[in-house]
Amino acid sequence: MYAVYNSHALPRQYSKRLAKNMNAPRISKETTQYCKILRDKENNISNILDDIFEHVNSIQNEKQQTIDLKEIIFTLIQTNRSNLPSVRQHEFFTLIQTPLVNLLQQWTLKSKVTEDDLFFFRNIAKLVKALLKSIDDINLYPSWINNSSLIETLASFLKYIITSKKNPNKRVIKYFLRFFNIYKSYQILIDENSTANQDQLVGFIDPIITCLTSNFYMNSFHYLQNNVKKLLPRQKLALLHCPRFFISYRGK
Amino acid sequence: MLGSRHEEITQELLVIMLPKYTALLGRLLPSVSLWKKTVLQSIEHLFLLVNHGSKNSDVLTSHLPFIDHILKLIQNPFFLNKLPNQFSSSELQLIDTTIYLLSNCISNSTILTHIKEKKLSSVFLRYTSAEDESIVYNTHSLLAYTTGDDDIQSMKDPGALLSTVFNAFKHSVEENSSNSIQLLQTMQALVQHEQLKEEIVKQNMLGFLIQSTDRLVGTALALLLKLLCTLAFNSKIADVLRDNDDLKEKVQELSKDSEEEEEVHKAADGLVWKLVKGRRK
Repeated sequence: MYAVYNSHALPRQYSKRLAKNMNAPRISKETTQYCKILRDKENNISNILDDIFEHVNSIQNEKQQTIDLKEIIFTLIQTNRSNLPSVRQHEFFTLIQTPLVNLLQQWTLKSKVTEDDLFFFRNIAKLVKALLKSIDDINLYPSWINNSSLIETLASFLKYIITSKKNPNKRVIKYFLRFFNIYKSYQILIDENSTANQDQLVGFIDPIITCLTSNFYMNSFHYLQNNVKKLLPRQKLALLHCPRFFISYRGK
Repeated sequence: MLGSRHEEITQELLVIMLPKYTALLGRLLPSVSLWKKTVLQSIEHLFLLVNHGSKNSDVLTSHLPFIDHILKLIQNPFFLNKLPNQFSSSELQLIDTTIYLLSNCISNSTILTHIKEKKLSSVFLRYTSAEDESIVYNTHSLLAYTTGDDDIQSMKDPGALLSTVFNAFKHSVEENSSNSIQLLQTMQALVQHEQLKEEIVKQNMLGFLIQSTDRLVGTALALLLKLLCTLAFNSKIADVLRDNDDLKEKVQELSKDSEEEEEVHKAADGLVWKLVKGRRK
């Protein structure tokens, strides 16, 4: 059976993860159906995304909605990812925002990270990366990219990563870097396009300054003195990504 | 241009961090030859921060030891011995950013004087052999502004410096590139030295410079006219320019043409004075 469709193997594992928790709501039947169609579709996923959007949007229970979203997002990154750029403006992806914001806010409050949440975060990061890969025109970004509550949440999370006394989960930072990279590329395009609103990402500047003046920033250099070959994700963020973002910012 | 608030933030960042950066470089520099890619990249990004904002060199004037550290960095045999092309990509990036930072800083007179006193022309000259266009380009402007008369005299072949800058200028005029402005400024600084005015004659550069008055406009044209004006202080060059009726006519027109920009007007006026009126004296 497994030999027929390799891509089926992973979703089953994922469902198993969920099944461990007996009280967890199940993935809705419709979503299971849609995921199956998604997996079988070789191209042109726009129409099926219309239906999926309508279905997920109609789910009233937020928990149930998140469960279904998790499965769909997982399926999307499992299937042919080269289909994704053509649907990057699709409404469906506006649904990612709420669970993403919730996830980050929750981690800022209590640093405990469950495997399930981490897996979800990883998948969202992968999806968004595949959606917004190598865009060279600022107008091709979907409008949710500069949604203020999303940026505010990501910015607070950046501050949290740098200033937290406890060492935040390495994998969380690794996946966060994917988001930050997307915004870094976006900022570079804003900088190059004189007609674009230069202040869209001003929300990131304050946390970046916090980072660049932090003890963590300077201490990271001490750590490097021992001639380590590889930067940890948190150091990468502080030593390379924050400066890059800062110097490409031309707004107020 | 940065927004004014961002400009302020950048300046505050440097005021707070430069003493820390200076101490950090002091600690890290002795082990330069052991720096891994991670260190090279992180230091390069730190330099990018220092280079950010239009007031950065003003802040740097109170942190000259920082400048000393970066001068030490480029003098390190570890890097010099890798010229012209033995650099790893992160070493090359770091050197490129460092030279770029220095060439930006010299617009500040305090830093310029400070660097001049270090007499580093021979070090900078070695970087002109780099197989990297932007390193060579920015090293030229460093050289043009920091080289003193005595350095020029002790240089084995100062004409070679002028000719690399001239050839880059020639290329940029032919390609219609915006580089010509910076290259003209560099030449202007170089021909302040009498010996290099002579080189202009020796290397037959004058003809192309005169021709270029037909091809450049705006700021570039104004700078070219100023350059010719400076060159006219050399009597041989002045004679060549005065004998060129087309040039004289063109410059006189430019000085009268009310449609021309203010800077072109002024520069043309200066040259007319030098070529026509200056003769009567």
